[in-house]
Amino acid sequence: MAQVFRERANLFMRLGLLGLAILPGSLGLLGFSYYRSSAYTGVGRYVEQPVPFSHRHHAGELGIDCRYCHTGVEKAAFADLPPTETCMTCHSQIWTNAAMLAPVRKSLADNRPLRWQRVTSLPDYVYFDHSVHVSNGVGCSSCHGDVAAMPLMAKAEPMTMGWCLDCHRDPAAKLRPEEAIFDMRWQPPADQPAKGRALLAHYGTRAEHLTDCSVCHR
Amino acid sequence: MSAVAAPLHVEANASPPRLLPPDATYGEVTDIVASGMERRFGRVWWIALGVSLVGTIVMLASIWTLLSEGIGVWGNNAIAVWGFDVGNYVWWIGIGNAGTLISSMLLLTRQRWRAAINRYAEAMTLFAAALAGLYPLLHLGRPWYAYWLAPYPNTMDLWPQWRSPLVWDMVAIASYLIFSALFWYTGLIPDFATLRDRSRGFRQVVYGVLALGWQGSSRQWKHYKSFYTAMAALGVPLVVSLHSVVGLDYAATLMPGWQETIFPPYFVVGAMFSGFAMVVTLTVPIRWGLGLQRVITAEHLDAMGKFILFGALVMGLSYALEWFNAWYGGNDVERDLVLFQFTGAHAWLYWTMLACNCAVPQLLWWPAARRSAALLLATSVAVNIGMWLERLLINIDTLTHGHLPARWGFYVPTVWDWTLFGGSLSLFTLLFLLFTRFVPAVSIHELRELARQEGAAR
Amino acid sequence: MRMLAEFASGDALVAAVRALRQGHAGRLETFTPLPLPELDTLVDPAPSRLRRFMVVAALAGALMMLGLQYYSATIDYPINSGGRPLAAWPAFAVGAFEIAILSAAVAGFVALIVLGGLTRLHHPVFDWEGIERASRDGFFVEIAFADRGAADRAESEALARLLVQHGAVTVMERPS
Repeated sequence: MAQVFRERANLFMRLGLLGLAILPGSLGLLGFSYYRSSAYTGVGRYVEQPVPFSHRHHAGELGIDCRYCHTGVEKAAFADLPPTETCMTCHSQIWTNAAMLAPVRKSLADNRPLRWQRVTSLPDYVYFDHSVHVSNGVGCSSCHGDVAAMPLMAKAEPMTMGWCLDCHRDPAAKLRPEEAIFDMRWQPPADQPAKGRALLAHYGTRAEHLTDCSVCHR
Repeated sequence: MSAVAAPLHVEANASPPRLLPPDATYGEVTDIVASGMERRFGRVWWIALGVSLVGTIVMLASIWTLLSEGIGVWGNNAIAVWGFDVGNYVWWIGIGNAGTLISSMLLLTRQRWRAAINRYAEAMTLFAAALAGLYPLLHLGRPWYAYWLAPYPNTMDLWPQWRSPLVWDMVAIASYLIFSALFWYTGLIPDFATLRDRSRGFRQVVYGVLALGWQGSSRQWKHYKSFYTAMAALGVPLVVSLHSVVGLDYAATLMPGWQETIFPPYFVVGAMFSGFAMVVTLTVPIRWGLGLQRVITAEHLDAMGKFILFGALVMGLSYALEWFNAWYGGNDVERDLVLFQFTGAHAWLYWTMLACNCAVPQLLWWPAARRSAALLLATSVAVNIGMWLERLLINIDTLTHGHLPARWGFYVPTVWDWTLFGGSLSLFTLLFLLFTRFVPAVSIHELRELARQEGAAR
Repeated sequence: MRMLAEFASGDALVAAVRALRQGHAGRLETFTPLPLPELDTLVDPAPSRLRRFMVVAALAGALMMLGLQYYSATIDYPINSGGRPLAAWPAFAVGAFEIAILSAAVAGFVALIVLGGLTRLHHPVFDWEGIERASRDGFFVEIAFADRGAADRAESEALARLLVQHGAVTVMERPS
């Protein structure tokens, strides 16, 4: 009988079978790395806004408090985006003719709010409350990064459930005293474990319930 | 005395009935099977292919509707949360268990008649198990997230709930599908070599790759036998565990009619029963269509008929135990459910089920009925219908008649339930038709072994 | 040198191999359309090692699955579900059992491919005339021996005679 296959077919066969064995694993590895990469999570990605508002200039260089614009952050689930009138408290007096601010003036004249684009958004099935975090020792920069150094706003953290759980499982590692909540450059001190435990007691947080399903999914 | 004893003695030692023609040679049995698939297929095959293709397209349309509209297109509602979807899943997985169970059990008990039926029984298993897997996936509502059931390091840091029978079910079905595909394919390797050596051109290359360079050397046969027998030994407990887990999907709940310790074994027997019925339902057309009357004989039909009869008796006993336990347990809700089964909204279906599963197979006490292809086919189709009704009624009777009278309700399947079910039957037929065309429907090398064991060829 | 003899029946092949084994100690291999249990020990007395791989894989698979379930349910994300114990080993046994069988099946299949040489689509044995009958109704034995001169050639002639005596239909020879 004549050979059906050439000798090279043996090599192809082995490579093919090997590929078949390796394929599921490599696809899994690819998915594992993709869903953790910034290509998927969007960490570091700038978002186009109607006005190129610089947090570095306003919050960093001028030192305007976060709460001047995000008024609800200590009291409500939503931190609030400022209405045009908040911009105009200053910009009716300074830089009144700047071309960059034309959309702000138009918004005021037309009585139509500016359409700011979300930088960090969570799925609808996640119940997130700013006030409960801010008033219990979680600082702005823990989730939003050093906003005072960002000329344009970019997502700082992946906002995956695993990332949320990092803190919810071990809140003491990131808790701050009240006076440091709005400090963009805050870093955990050397004795954070001890301080963190004290802060947990201070805020009255029951850490063992922070990973209950119903804490975030209602 | 000796005149009486002698015939009895002969009777006891009588050789089992012959399964192959006494003069069958190795070449002949090879030709019987291979030529069945090599010759031109007639009009019936093409018409059946066309019809099942249309049915498959209807199924795809039904799935498309489901995915774009949501579960609401089905008859499922807030009371009958499981309907056709889970009922059909259990029916198909029961059929999907039987091939491997039959093939393994008969191999381990050295039943010679296995050689003629194991291949297409295993193919049936594979197709049915794959179709069964489709139902729970679609039932998820968002099937594209089905991989959430698998344990993998995800960004949510979540893991499956290992204490849930539904997760066991997923592990068991996935393992079983891979297992039965390997079992089936391993048995096919020597037959693919046979086809490689008797075809030319493109077919030869395809069968050559599938045969993996099989030579039939003693070394290969030794490893093959070692693996195949071990797989058979593993297959039986795997199938029993798989269908026990399906039973636990129900038994681990608190619902009347479900929370019963009998459920796992009762589901295993039900699976074997419906699976054997499906094997018979497929045997009759395969035997006729591929001209295999010489290798699938009346002896085979007879043996399978006995299995169905045995299954019917065990199923009857299981039903009786359910009724007895409902009464003996003294729980009003359980007793009420049994009453509802016999007299309630679906009573006519329940009576039909009892007739199909318990009464009709009693015909098979009569040897002539077991050996008649037409009667056996009629019985097995009745059993298929009866088992389908049973799987459906397990879901809807309990759910529409649970603990709270305020939550009694109705279940009515919609057109999308029916098209999905009819479509899955079509896809099953389509796969089977293609299988008979491209894969030997009967294991050729095991027929050769049978010929040697029976002494037809040495 | 290699010699191939074809027999018309399995019994004839078994008898010939038995005779060959008594006289000749060289390497031989049979090619048959069905497994002949008699040949298992005659050609190579060593039993198949395949099931060892299956046992090891089954144990490894079961332990890994138990470990995964234990780690995920008690260490990585303990969830109190209706007061059940976190390390619910009776529940973990189900998954571990299924994975044990799956691992054994996959490992056995890989072992079958590796031990049985089932990647060799091209093989010198397929060069023999008529070897395609080994998947139908031909029973073959191939004998390999050295070719270093007249003594070996005499041996090959003796071999051929032995094979024909035992009913060989054809006997062929080729340089390796």
